Amino acid sequence: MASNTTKKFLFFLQLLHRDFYIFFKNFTTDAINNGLIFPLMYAFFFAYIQSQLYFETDMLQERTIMFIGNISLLTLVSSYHFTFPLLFDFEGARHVDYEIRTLSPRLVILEKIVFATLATFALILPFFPFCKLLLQNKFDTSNTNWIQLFIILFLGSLCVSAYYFLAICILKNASRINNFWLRFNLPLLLLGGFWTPWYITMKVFPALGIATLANPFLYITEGARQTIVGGSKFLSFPVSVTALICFSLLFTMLTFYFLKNELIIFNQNGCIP
Amino acid sequence: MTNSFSDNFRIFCAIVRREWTVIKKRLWKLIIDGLVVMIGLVFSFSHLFPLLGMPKKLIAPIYLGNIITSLFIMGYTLAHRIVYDVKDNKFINYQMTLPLPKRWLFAAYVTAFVIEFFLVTVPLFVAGILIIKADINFANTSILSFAAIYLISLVFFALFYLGISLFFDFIWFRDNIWPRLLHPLLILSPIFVPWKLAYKFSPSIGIFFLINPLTYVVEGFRSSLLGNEQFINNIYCTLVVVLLMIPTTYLVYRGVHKRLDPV
Repeated sequence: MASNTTKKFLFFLQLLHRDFYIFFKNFTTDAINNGLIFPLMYAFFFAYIQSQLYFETDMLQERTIMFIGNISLLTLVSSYHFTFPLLFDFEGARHVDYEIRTLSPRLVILEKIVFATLATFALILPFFPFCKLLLQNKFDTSNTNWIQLFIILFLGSLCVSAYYFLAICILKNASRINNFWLRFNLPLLLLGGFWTPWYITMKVFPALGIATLANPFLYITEGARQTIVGGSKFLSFPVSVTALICFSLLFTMLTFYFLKNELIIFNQNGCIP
Repeated sequence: MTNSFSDNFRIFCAIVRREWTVIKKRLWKLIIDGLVVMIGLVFSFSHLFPLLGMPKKLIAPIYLGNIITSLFIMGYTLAHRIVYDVKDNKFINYQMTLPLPKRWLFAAYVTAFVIEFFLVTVPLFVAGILIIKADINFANTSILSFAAIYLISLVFFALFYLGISLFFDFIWFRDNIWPRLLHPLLILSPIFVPWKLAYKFSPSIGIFFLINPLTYVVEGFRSSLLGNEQFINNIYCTLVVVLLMIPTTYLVYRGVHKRLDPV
């Protein structure tokens, strides 16, 4: 007879399997939106037009540096798609109540974070290779370490997914999503190296530069810039990796803590197997 | 028996008054949202980009282009409300039963949208312009032209957002409206680069941008505040935006018939 832990693990895998089943059913739409339209548009506009009009012809590295930051927006948009259905579920069918009858609330959330991370990673993974194909020599990848880049993208997906689940616990209703995007995501994005790297912020406003070190999105863009462009201007790869892991753990722990009101109380009312 | 003009106008005013009460309640929240966007964009384009190598002469045109970004985000918030209303609350269905021709009802919606757009965006744009005033040359500014293109653009945006919120169903709107419609409109336009610069860089890209309605809105803003020399002529832009209201009005009409079953 299987032990309790094995049973839980099998339930966990079953939930993950179900989420991936739905993911593959909607894969065409997601792949068109996030895997095709975004890279095409961003490569065409930000890397091809904008960067060439803003900078001199010989500033290929600056153009590449500016373009790389777009990955943070793509990660945010992609992960949103896989995480926020939980918030709509809280207000609607509450399918999650059924799920916590089969597995502890923390494991349910952990499963959702794992799924959102893998699904987001799958959608953002082809972004840079696809852009390289489109842009050819207008996108400088001569110093790129692709393996390290993919590690950064994976950890970025994990961090953003965990961040979103924390946001869901705090927001509690869908009517505040627009405020959340404008008051949290947008400033974090703009100060997180979306367009300009961290060393520029440090140069203009050192205090702000130091404050932005608390911004998790910064490590996605800095990590991506370091692994694509290289050099000593950006935060190093180990620093970005460590920061992304720490932020992911922090957000996951805080999600567990804040979710207890939403899920655990229900769970303790005799609904757990 | 049909209503007289004054009856219709009275009901129209009552609907707008009700919307005004709601707008007053959320005005500060919207201004704070807009303020965050404005500060972020001004900071990025006026302080950070020049350090990366962007010419300073582009600061003012790009700031004015980014006014569109704020309008776009705000318009989406308004459209979002209508989409949810059509799906869940169905308050709009109650309004459809009022003894009022449908065009009056939707004119009231557009009026309320324009008032909200205006109240939220004007203080922000003035504040933004004051922040970057050192980089703006006001020698060729025509306030009257700017006021005209600005108000016409607000009506255009109101019609556009009302149209898309009624035309597309909830699921499509939620999943696809940004990646497939709003984002391409925003990115593939001269918001981040003046049109003439883009045309000089590649004539085919310049011509491609002319398909996008936002080109005329943004270039109209620029030419009325910074002069016609470097941008598409203000009068031409104003005329095109007025003409663009025809398809957007048709979009509203189609949306109403598709989703609301008017009788």
